[in-house]
Amino acid sequence: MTSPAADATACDLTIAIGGLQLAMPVMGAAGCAGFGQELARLGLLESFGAIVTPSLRARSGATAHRARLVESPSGIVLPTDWPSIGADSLQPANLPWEGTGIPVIASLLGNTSGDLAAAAHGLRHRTHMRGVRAVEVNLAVPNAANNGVPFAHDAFAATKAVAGVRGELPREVPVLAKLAADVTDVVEIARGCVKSGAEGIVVTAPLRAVSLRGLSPDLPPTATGLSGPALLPVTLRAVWDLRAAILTGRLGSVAIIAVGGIDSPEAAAHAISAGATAVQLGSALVHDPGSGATVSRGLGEQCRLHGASSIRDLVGAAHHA
Amino acid sequence: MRGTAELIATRRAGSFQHLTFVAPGVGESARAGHLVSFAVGGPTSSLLARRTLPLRAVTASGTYGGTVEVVVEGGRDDGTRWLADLRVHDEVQIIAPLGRPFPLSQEPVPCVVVGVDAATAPLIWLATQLRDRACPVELVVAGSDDQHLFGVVEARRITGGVSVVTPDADGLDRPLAAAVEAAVRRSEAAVVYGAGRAARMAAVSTAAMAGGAVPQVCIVEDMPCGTGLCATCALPLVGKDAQVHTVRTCTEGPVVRGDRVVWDQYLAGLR
Repeated sequence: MTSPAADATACDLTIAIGGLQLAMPVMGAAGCAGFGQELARLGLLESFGAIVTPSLRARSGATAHRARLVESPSGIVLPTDWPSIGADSLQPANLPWEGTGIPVIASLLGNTSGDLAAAAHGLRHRTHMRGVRAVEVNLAVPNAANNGVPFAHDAFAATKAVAGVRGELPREVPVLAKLAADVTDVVEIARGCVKSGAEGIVVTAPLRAVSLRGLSPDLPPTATGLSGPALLPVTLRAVWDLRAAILTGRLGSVAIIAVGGIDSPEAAAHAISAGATAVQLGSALVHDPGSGATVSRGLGEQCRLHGASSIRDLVGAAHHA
Repeated sequence: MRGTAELIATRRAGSFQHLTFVAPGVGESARAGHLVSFAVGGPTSSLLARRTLPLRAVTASGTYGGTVEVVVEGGRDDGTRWLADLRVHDEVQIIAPLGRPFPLSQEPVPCVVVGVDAATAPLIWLATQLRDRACPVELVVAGSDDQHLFGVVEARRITGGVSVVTPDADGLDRPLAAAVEAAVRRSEAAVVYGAGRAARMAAVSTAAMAGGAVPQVCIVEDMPCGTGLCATCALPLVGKDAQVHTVRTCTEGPVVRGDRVVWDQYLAGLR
């Protein structure tokens, strides 16, 4: 069996997202890859360029509902604001990603821009950014200061939230803004995030959804999202629009990271050719924790198939076809 | 082991299907209480969540080079129905062994072993191990109805002390708790081992504690990844620091101290 690392010698899979250099364009998505220890136990961590942590809040605390996963055809529906450890409970001497050796992207969550900034502040001071190579701001959650409209649905709120997080972090740590594709114009939201200092745009977060059991909501309707392979065409649309906006100059130069429905080398190659620099695997890891190896290895094959010596040659290729 | 397992035997057992797969490498390290996680629906499946079940038994080597057995309730959902409908020579992706197994007493202390529905499956294995350590064992086999009783005959082969429990007019919890309390009293048990859905294990834990026994329960609820990645099988547990911590049933469980689970909070979240 060929390891992804061996493939990398044949096809250069290294990528850069702002100042973040990764050996592989495949990441584990927030909430689906643990803190890296779980994949390390299975011997599957080396297939990833980075792991995005479960979303951290400023403070630990229970939510009003339990994190629960409901299946839908080719998808999973789950709460988008499930409980996680808070940055305040991170133990500096025993960080949850300690010893994995994998680049870590810390995902932050909050229900106001102040909460998000506080989470960034807590992360910086509790970890001294040890092992943290970048920060992802989860903007697809309800904004309590705007009647529960997600940050990702409002350019002003997204801009403010990213600026708050950016201001709390060292300049050398790239900030990635995680947006949702179920908006009228994802480019407009991304423009605000880039102006606030985001060096990467991650699309798409779970799309807003409702799950019913009998005649009642099965999960809290205010914070429920759909993930899974059903999202792939929507993800490709959002990546396509962002890349097209960069090419026309409407959006400044920014790395695009595709997430949502990526579960195979072919899907990853499609996302990259639509304009993504890297991909994140989410629900694919729930179904098969080995899908990281499958996608990483398969991307090397895709490079060879398309006569590219580097995965970077495929980024946005579909726009020139 | 993470890989492909081939089904070599399938047989009906009441409402359940008893499946045996060839899975080399599992039997050497698996213990009673460990889990096996299945990707269901085949390679083109639209079902993303895995089905994670307690192992019924394993063999380390033999004609087929190592096997694992599980008991599936086919009527539970589409994924378990797909598993129950597998035919001999069909292949399925598995990960095993997973989780934390039943801790076995170092001393030959009296034990009560309680299984409910399909979750009775691993307890025959456990009871055999306890008996081999000279622990006096009483078994309580419970089912939601007659068709959901599993392993009664096997249980009687292991020990003479077998109680069979089915629901009364108010449900299963009351007769189950009564049977556990009586067994604990009779045997002066130090440990009650249980396996079943969370609500049943709450009743078993309460009954065990009432008799002064330590409850070690295997909670069999949905574990969509089986590997701890998705964290949707969260279980509130009181730690040694007396604080409530959220643990994952599939990795820090499925066997936990029943007296440490915050049952009210947990059961409310399952509804």
